[in-house]
Amino acid sequence: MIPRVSAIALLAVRAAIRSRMVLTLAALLLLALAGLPGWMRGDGTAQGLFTLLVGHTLGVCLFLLAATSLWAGCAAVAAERSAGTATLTVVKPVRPFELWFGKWLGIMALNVVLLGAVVVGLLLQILLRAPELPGDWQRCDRVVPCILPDPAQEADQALRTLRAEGRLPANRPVTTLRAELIQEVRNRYTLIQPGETQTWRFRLPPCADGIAPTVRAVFETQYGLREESAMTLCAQAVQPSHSEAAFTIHETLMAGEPLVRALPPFTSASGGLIEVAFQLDPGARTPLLLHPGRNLALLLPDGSFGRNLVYAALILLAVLSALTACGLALGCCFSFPVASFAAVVLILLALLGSRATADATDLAEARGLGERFGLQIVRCAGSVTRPLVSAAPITQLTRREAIPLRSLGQPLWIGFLALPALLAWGSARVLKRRENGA
Amino acid sequence: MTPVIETTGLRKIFRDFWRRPTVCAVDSLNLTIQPGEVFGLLGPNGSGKSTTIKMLLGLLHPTAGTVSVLGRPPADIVIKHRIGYLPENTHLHRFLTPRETLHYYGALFGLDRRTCRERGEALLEMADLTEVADRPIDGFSKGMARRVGIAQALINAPDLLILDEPTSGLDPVACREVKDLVRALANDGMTVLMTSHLLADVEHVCDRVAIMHRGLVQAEGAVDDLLVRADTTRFLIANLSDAEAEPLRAELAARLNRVVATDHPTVSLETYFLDVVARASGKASALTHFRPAPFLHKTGIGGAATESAKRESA
Repeated sequence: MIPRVSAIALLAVRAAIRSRMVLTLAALLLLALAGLPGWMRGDGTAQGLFTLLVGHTLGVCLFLLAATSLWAGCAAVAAERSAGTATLTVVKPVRPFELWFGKWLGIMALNVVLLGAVVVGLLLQILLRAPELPGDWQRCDRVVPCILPDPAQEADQALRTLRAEGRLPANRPVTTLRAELIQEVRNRYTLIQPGETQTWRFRLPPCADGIAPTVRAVFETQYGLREESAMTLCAQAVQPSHSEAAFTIHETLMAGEPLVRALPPFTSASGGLIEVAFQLDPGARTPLLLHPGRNLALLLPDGSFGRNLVYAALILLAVLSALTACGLALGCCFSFPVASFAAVVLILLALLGSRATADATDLAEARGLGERFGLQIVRCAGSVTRPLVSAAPITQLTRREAIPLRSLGQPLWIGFLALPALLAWGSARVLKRRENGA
Repeated sequence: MTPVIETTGLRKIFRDFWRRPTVCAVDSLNLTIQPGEVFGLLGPNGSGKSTTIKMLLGLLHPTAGTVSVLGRPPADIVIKHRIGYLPENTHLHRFLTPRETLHYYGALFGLDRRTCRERGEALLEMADLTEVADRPIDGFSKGMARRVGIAQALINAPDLLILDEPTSGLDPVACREVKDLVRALANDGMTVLMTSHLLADVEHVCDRVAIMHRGLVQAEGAVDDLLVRADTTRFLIANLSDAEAEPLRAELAARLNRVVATDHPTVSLETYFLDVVARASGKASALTHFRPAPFLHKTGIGGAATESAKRESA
């Protein structure tokens, strides 16, 4: 099996190199790496340049690699079939799975090399322009979200209250109502009126002793007004309680801009609880809104940019692996033009699906069998692609948020093993039944 | 002896997208090919030759009937180790060189690197491709690509060689060389099934032929049996002038009381062509290449079977 698979993989690599696909892609990647930061204008800040260098450049490179992976996957089998070369391969003692796996391996080998080159090129760019970047660009922070009540529990509590008060709508199924309530809880903003104080708690991870945490919050105003507001931030260790007084500081913030404030190390302890309170100045003209799930976090220094980049590259590679597998599966099922068209549809479906799964009420509200069926397909696609799409780590890299090691598990499992294995199994069955070559 | 190929009541009906039958390409095909035989499948275009071959290779699924190749169903991966195939159109990867092509197909047969290299070199030499071994096939003529195709069909030293129009695109010299090669391989114990509509090719090479038309076998048998004119006898006398021949013809006609004709036998145009080319190039023979590579020599049918058995057990 190994000589056959490696021969097929080598053939895929040779095909890509000699068809000049790799050369063209390498030229485009080089252009994105070297040209984009010079061509695009940042916002003039050091962080803006960092975002441009890392986020935009890596984003463009990922797009190029993703599109090429999908296309190369489609071409690897479908184009061979239309050229007739597949006939000579399938009369040899090659199992359909070996053919599929060999092609996947070949394209992934190219992806590894190209993504590796992109990562090295990006690091070189960053090192070259280090003086213009934030002083602590190498630092990464671990994000500790605030403790929030379980949306399902809150929804159940609300349902119980409605039932007790006899206000439960008779014309809506309870499951639909529950899903709506959960969604509502998830999307809920906290309103802080002038003079009002809102408090949130954070559970610190182990090994946080003596590490100075940083609070990051993005406040918004109604209608997106950009206004300056004065605010008092108060932080203290609740568990274990600390003898020192609470840390208090007055801030002036701009709505929509992140408020980032370092707290003294005494507030932090391994596995401890920190309480952070925000009091809006009584003289403030408008109330502020905060989405605690999305826009409030405690940051703890954790790891380096280099480690983050390696983790991010692994996740991106898993995404490319999944796309290659999808391309190969399409190439096995359809002719090259149809497979290419289906690939575009697949990308749209994946993007739609990754959003659709986030909104559980869609399906409940769907009217008619057609709508329900369509949504079900989108949701199924999303349940597979969402872990990959949501794990896209470029945002975390640009925000210098540490990518936890455990968060690699799901994308790597889906991208490298589950999805390719499932698609390989399906493709092998299609190839076995197909007449006149693979 | 177990036949290498055996089909019983083989039928193939092609269907359209809606599964409606469109054409019956092969019907009631009963074929038996014995080890070491060179079997020719003849017929005009669309007679079902290539469809039959594709069913034998497992590329097409029969609508009815049974197929047994080397004692197993054609889809069995084990027998694919023992089959060499040259398709009607040489579909090779255009970006590969002949050497890389042979290594690639050798690896698909599970041959180790050293064996691939050795066999590859021997086949390149056999097919007279050594000088162009490192040039991409993209720039090759149809004949040269065909040579690479023939070489790849032999990389696994097959027990059964299936050649679909093997001489298509080749010049007369190469045509003859291929025919000689097929004969030599058959003498060494290899079973060969070939199709062609160039009847002269088949006549000189095949032991037995089947003539197909509209999916049905119209005639089948040994070439000599099919072509012999049993009601006519020809005497061949060397160096006899017309003046000497005439009294003999008259004598025979008078004695037998039948019409006796005399003529001068002709050589085939192919033989004449090869002589002219040989004279023009100052050689004894125009045929220099396509001698079986050493690894293709087997000690008869038993030898071939032994090698296959070894491979399977490995």
